[in-house]
Amino acid sequence: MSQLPAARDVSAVELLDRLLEKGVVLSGDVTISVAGVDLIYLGLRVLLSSAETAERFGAPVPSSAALEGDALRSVATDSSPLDSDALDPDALTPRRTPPRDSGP
Amino acid sequence: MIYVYALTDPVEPPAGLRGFDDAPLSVLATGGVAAVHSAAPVPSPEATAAHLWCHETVAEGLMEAGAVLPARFGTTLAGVATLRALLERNQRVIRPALDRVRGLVELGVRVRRKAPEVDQPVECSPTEAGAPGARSGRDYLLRRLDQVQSERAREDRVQALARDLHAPLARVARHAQRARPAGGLVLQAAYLVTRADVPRFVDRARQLDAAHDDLEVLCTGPWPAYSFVPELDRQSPSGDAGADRDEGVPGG
Repeated sequence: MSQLPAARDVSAVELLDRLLEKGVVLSGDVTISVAGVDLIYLGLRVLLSSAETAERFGAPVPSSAALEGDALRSVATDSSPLDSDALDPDALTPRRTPPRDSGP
Repeated sequence: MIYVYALTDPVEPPAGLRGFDDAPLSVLATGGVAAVHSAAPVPSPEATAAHLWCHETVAEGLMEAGAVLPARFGTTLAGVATLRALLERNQRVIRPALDRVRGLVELGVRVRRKAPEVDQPVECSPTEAGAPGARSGRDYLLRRLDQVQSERAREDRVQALARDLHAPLARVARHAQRARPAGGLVLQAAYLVTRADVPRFVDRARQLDAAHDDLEVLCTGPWPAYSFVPELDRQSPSGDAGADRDEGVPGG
């Protein structure tokens, strides 16, 4: 394997970062309806961010086993389906991030 | 409710490309720009891994047909009239943004240290004003000054390093976007490169990785240009009474 180190893990972080934090905003109320997924997102994210961030979101750092899945995208390859079982939301404490830009 | 995947050139999506729940994709074109949408999953798209990949797959598939500005995941609108109004109001922004990304793909780069940077032991923490070691106020202030200066020197070193890493990558790219690196990352950036240049870019990333024993250079992609999208005016035009209304944070 001549791939860059940890590219598989990082690719999932990068995907989530892009889909949930970037991209054109057309609507004021982009909502994500499953609490579990912010968790997946946050869980992956803390792999690369500080303990302080993790604490702020109350997100536990997932075990690396939670990220094992042969479908995570690696460098410069075509997309492949992400195995949802590989990212088990139940492995993480249920907690939701507050919506970023929608008030009550 | 419709779900919007991307803003695109006014072209048909590749045959066989489908949206959520295998929904057929529709193109709404107006004023030289278009948006690709489908029926929205009811009540709203769940951000499951499968849905995330579906959104991503549609955005990538559309890149075969023309320029693509991917929408943020979870973008639902009340209907086609709302979407049309948005496109018409923003076409002057959307068109040049499409031109900018046409034929290009985004590559993501994160550079992190393999181990935390080793520092000289600090005797006096900034919060311990009355630390036992501080004999006088002058001593304390001198020590603080030292600390602040070494902190600054370290920040300067990190920034210089980030510049050194960024520059050779940016030279292969048409556009680059650096984020403020969070969580101890040295560099976090996105680059728009031609498809033909992707191998060259990845090689450079590999070279950088090999040249720095203490760093991991992580390169992902090619992605649609998520990091190179324009900001749109989303104000509902008051004279647009015929348009269906955007609404609904469910359970809001």
